[in-house]
Amino acid sequence: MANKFTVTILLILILTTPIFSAQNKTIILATTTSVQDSGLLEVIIPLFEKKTGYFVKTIAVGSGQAMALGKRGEADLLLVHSPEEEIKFIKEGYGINRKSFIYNDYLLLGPKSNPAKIIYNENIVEAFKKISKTKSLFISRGDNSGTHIKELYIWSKAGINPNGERWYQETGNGMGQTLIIADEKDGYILSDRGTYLTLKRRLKNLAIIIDKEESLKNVYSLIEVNPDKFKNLNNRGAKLFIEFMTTSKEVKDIIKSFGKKEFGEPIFYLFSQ
Amino acid sequence: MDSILRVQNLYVKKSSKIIIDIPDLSLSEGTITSIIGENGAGKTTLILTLAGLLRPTNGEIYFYQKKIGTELSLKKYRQNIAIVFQENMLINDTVYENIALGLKFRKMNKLIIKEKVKKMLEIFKISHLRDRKAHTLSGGEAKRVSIARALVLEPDILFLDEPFTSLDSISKEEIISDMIEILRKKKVTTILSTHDKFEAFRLSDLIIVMESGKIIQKGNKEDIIKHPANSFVASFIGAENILEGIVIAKKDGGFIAKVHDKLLECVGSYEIGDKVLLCIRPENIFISKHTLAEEISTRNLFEGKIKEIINFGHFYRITIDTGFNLIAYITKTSIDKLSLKIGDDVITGFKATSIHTISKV
Amino acid sequence: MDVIIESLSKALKLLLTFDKETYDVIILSFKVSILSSLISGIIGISLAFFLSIKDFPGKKILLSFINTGMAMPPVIAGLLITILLWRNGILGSFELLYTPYAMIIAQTLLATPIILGISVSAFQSFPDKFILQLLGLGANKVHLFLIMLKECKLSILSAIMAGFGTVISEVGASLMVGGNIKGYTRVLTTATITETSKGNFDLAIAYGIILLFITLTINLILTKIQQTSVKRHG
Repeated sequence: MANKFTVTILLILILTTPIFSAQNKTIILATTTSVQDSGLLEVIIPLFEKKTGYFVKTIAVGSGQAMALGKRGEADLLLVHSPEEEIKFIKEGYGINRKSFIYNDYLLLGPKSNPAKIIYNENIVEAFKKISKTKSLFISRGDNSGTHIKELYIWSKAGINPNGERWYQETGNGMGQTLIIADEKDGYILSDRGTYLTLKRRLKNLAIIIDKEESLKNVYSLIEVNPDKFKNLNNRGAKLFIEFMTTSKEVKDIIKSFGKKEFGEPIFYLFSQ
Repeated sequence: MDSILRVQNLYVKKSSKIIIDIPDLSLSEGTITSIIGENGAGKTTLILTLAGLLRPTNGEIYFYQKKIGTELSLKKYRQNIAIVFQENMLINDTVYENIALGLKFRKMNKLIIKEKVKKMLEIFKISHLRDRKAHTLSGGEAKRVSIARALVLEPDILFLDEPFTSLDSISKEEIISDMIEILRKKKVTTILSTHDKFEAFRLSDLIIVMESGKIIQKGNKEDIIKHPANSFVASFIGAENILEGIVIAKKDGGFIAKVHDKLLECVGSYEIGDKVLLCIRPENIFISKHTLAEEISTRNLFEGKIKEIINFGHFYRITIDTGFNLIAYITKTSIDKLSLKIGDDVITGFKATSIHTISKV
Repeated sequence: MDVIIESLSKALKLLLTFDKETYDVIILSFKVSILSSLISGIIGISLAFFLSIKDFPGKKILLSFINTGMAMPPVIAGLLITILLWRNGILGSFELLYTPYAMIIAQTLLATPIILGISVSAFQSFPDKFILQLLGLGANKVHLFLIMLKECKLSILSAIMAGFGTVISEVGASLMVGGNIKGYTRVLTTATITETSKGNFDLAIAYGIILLFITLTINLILTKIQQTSVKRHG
């Protein structure tokens, strides 16, 4: 009987204690997986939260899906890297105040054996043509992310439609997962530098084939979701977040040094105009 | 005596099949009633309906002249009854907790419960089992608990649905004698369904015979023994000789029936061609080793051979093959005097007046 | 191979030194899954009780439906709850999406049919005549419920544990409605995915070990319960 009593009291205690702290001042940030996987946000968001008292819910998805969430008013702001789509998003009235935030570049990675015989730092379009010609395995995100859209843009420049080819495989996963898959399967892959550096020590077979090419610049932008379109948005928080990210000296210092110690180079560069 | 339970136009239908059809039935306070009948006759359904555990399709039940369901709520009525089934259905707890169960349902004071349970444990001689878990009990012990659990409630009506069926005869005997004492003392109105004639005869003031949901006979044990309404009742009460025959001739105040190739003289008025069941109680059958004088009053005499002799303690049960089997109950003295043994040729017979005739449907 | 050994030793170190980040995820997982299986338990068991004592047309069909359709695919539950909880959805005004509460709702949706199904068959194994016997002794519905619960406690316990085992190891619904937010809605399963894509195999393996340990323990207890009940009734 005493046993039953204790159990009941314990249950009531468990059920009535506020187990999760109340979060009324929340901002929903839909971000690309590449920034999330780098770990940068986990360092700078707590700074923002501490300073403002806001709670930021980071939903890591591809750029395409992030914008889809924005179009439904399910996110307050976006951190994405798909410039042409972003412009379209703003033109359609879903977003306002786009601010370029940070950048790095895309890399073409491939197996050390380099079956497509691509010359180091040759033109990316030519490189894609060689991959297609030699039917070398190419691993694509296939998830409508910024990286995926960039990759499709290069294929179209090369005049190739890789869809349905046996040497062209889509993973539907984030950047990190897709890199691991390409490494395991000895495939070529287009990746952002940030995720590559984060995962570098795990990637045994992939080597950089093309980097530091001007056309492969990768710009991440912050966009407020248009508060006139949806009534439930936390636009104040979104504005504050963007302001903090683009002006705070603390953030700038962190970005400048982020990854430097571990990889010998920073993962992201500040976008300054 | 007052009627404690009265039933009017009671119908129970299950998927358009009539299971109970009782136009009228009244039970007196303080009496013990047995319901007998074959499997599927509706005994259990009737008990469940009377106990307020099964809603009848139609009809009224009155408890002390109060209509159950309107003048007296079903819930209240159930507080006045108790039921024991063939299966003991004890909860997975101690003997004490089992017996206290119904009292706890009634939210009785703990001390009173303790006192009442203690008394019941004594009456049923199971005080030593008080703290034993139910599933460790023997069949007889569990049955005692199950009956004590019902009687501790001091019900106005106790329903017993074949309570002793799965017990060995020794436990049964002991439990019945303990139970009957308290039933008689407290004048608990009891309704019992059973397969066992000794149970029915020993316990009951009134016997109800059921067939296909209907009451086909109702009376005290003498009525039932003397005038069984059908072959089931006849075999139930122990008329072991049930012969199937056909009426072939009529006589003054009687008729002649053909059974196999033998002719039997019987009393009663039946028409030629009627199919009849002739019941003769085994104690009315005599056996002799010699041809009897012509003057004997017994009309029905047959030659036969002894097939089987079983010792029943107070008497012997002897089966004689005369072309059909006749069963006779004979005392030990008679057996010794006639020095009867299996294989002996004997003369056997019975009086026309000791035949109870039932028309066969 | 050395990656595995290295990660494994790091994982064990994280677990044995009670690394805060690791344990935050573990504790959150337990909170969410225990709460959702308890809520599912309350809903599932009481529904099962009423289903087993009440007669109504179509009961048999409903019961066979419950028995066969016990498992809802987690992503379906996730999708359903996401649509309901969208800011601009029917329940959007509660602002529940991407919170642990949303995860509890989705997991409750997942666990309730499982608990309901097992409880219904447990209660149905309770003989009808036993119910009549209890009613005949003056029991009301509450008495009946408590006694049936007690008599079937092992099966009921295994129902809740089966529900818990399902929700703590599912990933689809938690990911969709919780959003996998670090320190807030990141649970064992979603953390395993995230850490794998970040290349932190040691953390992923640590979480994997915990999950494996939990599911193994649950299976062990369930097997034990089954054996005990066989002993008692067989």
